[in-house]
Amino acid sequence: MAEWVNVPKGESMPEGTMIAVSARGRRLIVYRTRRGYFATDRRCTHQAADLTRGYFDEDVIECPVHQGRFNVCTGAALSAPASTPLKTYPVKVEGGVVFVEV
Amino acid sequence: MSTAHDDEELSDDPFDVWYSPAIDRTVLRGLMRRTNTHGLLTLGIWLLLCIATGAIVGIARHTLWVWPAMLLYGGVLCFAYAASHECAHGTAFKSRWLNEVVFWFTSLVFIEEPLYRRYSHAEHHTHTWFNQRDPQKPYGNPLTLSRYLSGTFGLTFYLDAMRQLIRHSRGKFTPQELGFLPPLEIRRAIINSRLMMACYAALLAAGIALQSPWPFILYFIPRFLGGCVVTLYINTQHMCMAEDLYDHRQTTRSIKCGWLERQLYWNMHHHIEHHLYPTVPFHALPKLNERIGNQLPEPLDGVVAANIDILKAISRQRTEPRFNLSRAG
Repeated sequence: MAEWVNVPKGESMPEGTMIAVSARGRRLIVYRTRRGYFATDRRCTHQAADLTRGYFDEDVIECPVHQGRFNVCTGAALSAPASTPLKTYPVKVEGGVVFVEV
Repeated sequence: MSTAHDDEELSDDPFDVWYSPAIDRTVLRGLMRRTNTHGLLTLGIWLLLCIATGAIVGIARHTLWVWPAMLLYGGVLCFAYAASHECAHGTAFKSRWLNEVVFWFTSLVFIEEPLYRRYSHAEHHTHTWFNQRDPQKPYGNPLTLSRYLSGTFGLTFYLDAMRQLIRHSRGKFTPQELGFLPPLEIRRAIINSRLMMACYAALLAAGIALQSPWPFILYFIPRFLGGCVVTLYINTQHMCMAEDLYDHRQTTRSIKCGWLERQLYWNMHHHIEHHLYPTVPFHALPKLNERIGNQLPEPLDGVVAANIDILKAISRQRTEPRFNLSRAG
């Protein structure tokens, strides 16, 4: 059963940044883009590298090891070697507090 | 309602086996920022130098001075390697299309199919200087003088590059290559290889048909003559360093370079720094060095000093095959 989980300090994230969080046994990244907040799994779907070490610009996160790219809003794999999409999680902001559904 | 936890470190990251210096994550993310300006400026300097030295070839073409002129021009031209390398990482420009256009052009000049270059290089970063695993490790310890000389001044690179291009254009890939080339990219790599072969053949045919020396004195001969200049720099990256270690300080070498060398080489003299953080663009490597340089071995005093060091190591490896030039650990 999915649950809305509070993202600590989520509301103070500047635009264009990401934070790594762990909730209910899952490792996630919460991003703040111009279009709002988004969340994905933290590991690259290619060889499980840690995407928080990658390059995040606008709506795209790029893997630090092989440069596979993903759209953080949809999870779509944008360029090889990544071909499997990243799992995404719903995010909402209520009363200035950020929540992710895990 | 539960609360998520801050989770900065991923303790079971499969790539966490590598040595990693202390650096603030926020600072590192700031250094990863890409721009178009730095790449355009560095590319522009290279192109201007190509035009200037190419003009010297043109002026000297009816004299014996054409040979040193072609060596000079070829030396500059072959630094297409450095631009192509930065584009392979996707860090040369912020704009993706600009990165890919420059990647294609500079890879064509350097004679390496871009997709193969990108993925073999990513594998090189994944398995830096591991025997049998790093596809860009053409030699190991002990190294022989003849291998050093043929690799640096001979036809080895030129012939290997052409053979590989012909093989890939025929759709033939080794099991190791198929291990790192994404299946969806193989067809594109074959097409690219054929297009590149067609470009070289067209240039050659034009020179013969029009009885023009230009394709030869502005590309084929300088590309061969000047190859040794950039190879001397490439030698400094890993040659005679330690092997099979998860520590870039021991398998990789940084050197000191002057302003012009830094422009032509796209700051790759900070080679340990580059291997530690390949997502940091070339223009931010000096700033990265300011942050972590005190945790790394002192860079050698330039390309000549590093190659002399390598030659001394080759001599020593005749009696001590396991000797290497690692200076940290």
